[in-house]
Amino acid sequence: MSLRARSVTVRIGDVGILEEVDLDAGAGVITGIIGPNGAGKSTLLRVLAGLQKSSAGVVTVNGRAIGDIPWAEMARLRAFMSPHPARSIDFSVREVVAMGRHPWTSTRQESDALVDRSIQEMDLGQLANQSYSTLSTGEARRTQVARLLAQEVPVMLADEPVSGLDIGYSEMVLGALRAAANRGGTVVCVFHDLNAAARVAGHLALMSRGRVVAAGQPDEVLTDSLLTEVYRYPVRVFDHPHRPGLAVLAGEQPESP
Amino acid sequence: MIARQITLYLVLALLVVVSLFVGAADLSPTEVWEGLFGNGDTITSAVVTGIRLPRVLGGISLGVALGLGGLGLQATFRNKLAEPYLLGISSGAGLGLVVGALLQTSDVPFVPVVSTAITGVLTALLIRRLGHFTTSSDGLVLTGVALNFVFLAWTLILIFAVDSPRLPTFVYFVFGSLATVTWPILWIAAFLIAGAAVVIVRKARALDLLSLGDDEASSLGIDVPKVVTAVIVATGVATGASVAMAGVVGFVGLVASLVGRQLFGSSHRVLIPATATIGAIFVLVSDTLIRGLFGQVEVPLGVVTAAIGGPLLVTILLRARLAR
Repeated sequence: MSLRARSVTVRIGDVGILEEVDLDAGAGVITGIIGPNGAGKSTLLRVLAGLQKSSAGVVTVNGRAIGDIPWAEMARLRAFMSPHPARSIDFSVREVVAMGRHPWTSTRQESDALVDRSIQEMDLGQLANQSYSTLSTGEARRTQVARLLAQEVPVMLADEPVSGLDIGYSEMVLGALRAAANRGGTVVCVFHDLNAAARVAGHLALMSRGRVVAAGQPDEVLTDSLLTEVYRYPVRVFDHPHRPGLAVLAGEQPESP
Repeated sequence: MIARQITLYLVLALLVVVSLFVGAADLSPTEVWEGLFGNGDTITSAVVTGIRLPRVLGGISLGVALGLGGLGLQATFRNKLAEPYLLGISSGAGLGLVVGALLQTSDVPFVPVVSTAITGVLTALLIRRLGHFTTSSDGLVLTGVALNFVFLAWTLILIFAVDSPRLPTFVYFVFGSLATVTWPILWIAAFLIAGAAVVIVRKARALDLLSLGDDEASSLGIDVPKVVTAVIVATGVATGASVAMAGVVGFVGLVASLVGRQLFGSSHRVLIPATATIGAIFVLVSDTLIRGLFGQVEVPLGVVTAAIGGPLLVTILLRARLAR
């Protein structure tokens, strides 16, 4: 399922948040949105999800404008994960994950099986009956991802899915998102961690000041010059020493001996 | 879970019976029974069906209205301290009652109940608007408490300045009482409260999903602005109707929802009927205590609910502070 944004502009008052943004996210690949703070990444993801109205431009899913798709149908097409989960009311982890099944009218057995599988996939079995409001940041993030998986939709949009996670759980979440893409899903993630983006994204969009300044394969977008310019800080990109792909480091070039 | 629900309903039924037997007039069970079914003498019938029965039914309506109001506000504001009294909605509705009574030219009960319901809704919408500017749960409650004082101040100014005979008795109105419940107002208020309850019941699952945050609830198919507006309007109507009937009674929503969550968890499908029942039980227990302990002296209902609910609020705030 293809998700496409064309000339998306978001203005709040006189302030431009997004300006003429184009983005293509295809099935079977993770599309990463990267860029410095305030670049408009989260706003773009909310526009792609249909949660934020754009001032101009259009977002389509398989050619249909999302504004023309009934809200209940949208919930069966795309899932969304916020970077700041609300956790004020005491639902259990299992109840929160089961909320992902709300858009569907599947049987109780089918729903239960999917919820259980998602809980196990995120290693939340021990916490299933614990209150969501008492979890650590990382545990809550994994619960959000489990809910995302339980929704079982073709398009998944996640804002900072590995934020607050330790290295092991970060790999677990990235693996689950990549598996979803491998099953034919369209996955779009906002990443602050450039190495996580380099590790799993097949397509990247680099944003700065409300615009997409570069888009393409990771090796086309993750370059010393582009990242150094956009982040206004020296950034080095090099081939990862132990696996295919790139690694990103912040800092000046080492001086020649 | 089902056993707990049945127990709640049995407790409420028992309290209804006890409430009918307790009061200033010393009536035997037989007299109450005869008065209830029209076989008693004129005075007994007047006491049972004209005073005690509307008082008991008013207490149930009040508890249901404020219990559901508390739940609805807590879900929409994602704040376990939210309830009609603490957010100033009860006092806003109270001001509407006084204004409605001043503008009324005839004694039609429909007018004050509707004006109170309207101001209840307007206050609920105002606190929703103000809620966007507060970032903490304590901040929302403080805003509500401030509104509470503002509305109370204007209510008192109007009461003292105009001194109309139609205005509710000062103390009973400010602290609430079931002593003034009459059949005409009870019918209208109960009708409005039932309508509000239907709206809140229909949104039960949506209220669960709202706990995830607006964006995540929306992504799961919930029309968040529509649900929030519907529930806040329903809460305003229910609170307004309860104030028209019994004045400003505080802390019922807080106590009922807190006990409800302890006993039944967080799912609104279970919590809504449970909290409504607990609200009714809390009000009837408080009112029966008043009538049983103080006899001829009519202590305002809100004094008893505040005596129980106030310390509870302090406990919740201290626990939250200690948990940080």
